[in-house]
Parts: sequence; C-alpha cells; structure tokens
Amino acid sequence: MKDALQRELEYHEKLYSGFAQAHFARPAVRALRQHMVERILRVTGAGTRSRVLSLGCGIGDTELLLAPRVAEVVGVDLSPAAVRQARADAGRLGIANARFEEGTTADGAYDLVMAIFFLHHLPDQALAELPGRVKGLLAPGGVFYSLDPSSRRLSGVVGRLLVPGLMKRYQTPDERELEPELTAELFRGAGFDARISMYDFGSSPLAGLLPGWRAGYRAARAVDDWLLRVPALRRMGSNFEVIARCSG
Amino acid sequence: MVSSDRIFRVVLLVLRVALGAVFVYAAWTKLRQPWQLFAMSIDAYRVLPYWAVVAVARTLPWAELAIGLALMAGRWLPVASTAASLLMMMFLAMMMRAYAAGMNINCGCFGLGDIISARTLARDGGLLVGYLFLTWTSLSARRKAA
Repeated sequence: MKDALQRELEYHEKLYSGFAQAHFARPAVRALRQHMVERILRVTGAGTRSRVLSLGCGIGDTELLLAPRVAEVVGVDLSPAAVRQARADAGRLGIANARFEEGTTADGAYDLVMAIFFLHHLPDQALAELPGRVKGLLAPGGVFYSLDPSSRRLSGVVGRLLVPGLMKRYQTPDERELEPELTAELFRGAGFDARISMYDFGSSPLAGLLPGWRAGYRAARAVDDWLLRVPALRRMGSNFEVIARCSG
Repeated sequence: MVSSDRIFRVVLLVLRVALGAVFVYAAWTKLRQPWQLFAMSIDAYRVLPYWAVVAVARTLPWAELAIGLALMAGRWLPVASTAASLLMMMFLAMMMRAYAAGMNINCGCFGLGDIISARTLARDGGLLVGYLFLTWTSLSARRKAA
C-alpha cells in the first residue's frame, strides 16, 4: 500500500503537469495570490532584508510575487514537476533572488518560514514534528506563517452538500481540514508564541470556482473583510493563518 | 480430567487480560503523541464543539488506561467491563456514522494513520462482542455472589 507522501507526490505531479499552471495564471487566482503576499508581509513583518523559506512551494506562484519584496526566497517542494516550473518561471521573469529545490527542507536560518496550504497535506506524524523542525530553520526573532483550510469552515459544509464532486477535484485523498486552535497548540507545545487569524470566508473559494473573474474576487474579498470583523461569523471562516514566533 | 468449568475460567482469564491490554495499548498510542493530534482525530468526526474535543482528548486516554489496567488486574470488573462496552459502542457508532458519510478520516483508535474502513469496523465490532461477553460474565458472577 502506498504511503500518504507517495500519494501526495503522485497527485501533485499530475496537478503540476498542466492544470495548475493554467489555473494559477487566471486573473482571480493571481489577485488572490497578490492579496496573500501583501497579507504575509503585513502580519509577519517581513521586508527587504528578510530571508524566506517556503515549505511546499508548488510552482512558486506566491513565492515569485513575494521575491521582489524580500532579500531572498527559497522554495522547497516534493514534486519535481512543480520545481521545474518554478525555476523556469523565475528565469522567465528575471527573478534572481528566488531559488527552488526538490525536497522537504533546506539549510540555513530564515527570518520567515512559510507554508501556504501545506500543513493540511501532512500525515499526522509529520505534522506533529513540523514545529520542532521549523524552530531549527528560524533565525533569532524569526516567524512562521501558515495558511490552511479550517475544519470549522462554513464553505466546506455548503460545498460538501451542494458540489461534493467539485470539492474532491481540488483535494488529495489524504488532505484534511485542520482545527485552527489545535494547530496553533501544536506550535505552542514546541515553545512558540502562536496565534491564529482567519484569512477569508468566500473569496478564496470563489477564486477557485471562477478563476477568470477578478472583479468578483475583489468584491468577495471586500465582503470577507467585513464578515471577518463579526466574531460569531469569523469562527466559520474558510482558511486560517498560524503566526508563530519563537518565545524562548 | 479437566472440567469444562475450569476451561471456561481459563478462557475468560485470557480474554480479560487480552481485552484489557487492548485498552492499555490504545491509551499508550494516544499518550505518546502530542494530545493535539488525538484532538484533531476527534475533531475530524465533526460531532463535538472545540471545548468538548479538548476535554475528550485530554481525558479519554487516561480513562482507557484505567479501564484496561482494571480489566487486566481483575479489579472492579463489573464497572470496568461495562465502561469498556459502553465506550466501544460509542466508538463504533461514531465510526459507522463517519464511514456511511464517506468521511476519509483517521479512526483515532490506536494512534496515527488508522483510516476508517470495513476492516477497522470489523475489528472494533469483534472487540465489542468480547467486551459485552466480559460484561455479561462479570455481572452474572456478581448476581450469583449476592
């Protein structure tokens, strides 16, 4: 029987052999990625002197948008197809401070370690070990940032009821939604000062469903910003961030 | 010649120790990992609110350990075997619900990577039969003694 990492690799090799490149280049998805970059810079305090490591970088679409705003970006991913594409895009765009490697980790001390839609793909054991690994990758004062689907999200409940086939199309067999507070607790248990923040409500799912409709994404993002100010609704947000700093 | 009563008592002893060891093992697999991972397994069933998920994740492994040790030691058998049967019934009901709903989740029974399947349902169903048998024998013995 194949293990979870092997299944994940096979899925992502297929994903990054055409579909992802086309999908991630669509206007709404690019607007979403640009929003993510602005958000990451704001909540982590990363800037032009920061060294950034991205775990599970995929084809590097977010990392290549981030690279001009920081000193250096290193992206690692298990998928050779994704890394090939990320390197080709970096060369095509003339981005010299972004480097992409096959694998799960990298040497060095980083000011920011980020993991965009990555933790929820990890098997339990790897997820449990990740905070300790991240600690060894961070420079003094460094910060960890992750973004993952929440198990409390309303959009997941609605999606499973209305379009279960579509939901499965964008999911690997082993990925799962994560409970935000428990995910932060894993980092606290490893000595991080971790907090969670809800990222969105309907805007990211809309960008996935209607990737060509940038105006629709922007309108939904504005609605999200308003909805996320309401505490009772915020808990049902779609994706959550963990922002964790070494406390000791 | 060995009497059938003696054979029955030996079989019962082996069954009690083995089923007690199952609970101790289940507790050990949960206690050796960060409690948050077991909490995530509970949360994946989408049944409990956050505060209850945390409460169950923090206490259930210790309850399993206590029940398992009591069964192995042969102490407080009516209470321990009844608690074991009730817990197994609850686990099995939750697993059957998740399986019927097509949820591809860890059962959380014995630590990590134990996805709910027909095999896990059959395994836990078989264990439930064993715990119910222990409950019946321990309650019958108590009634006879009274």
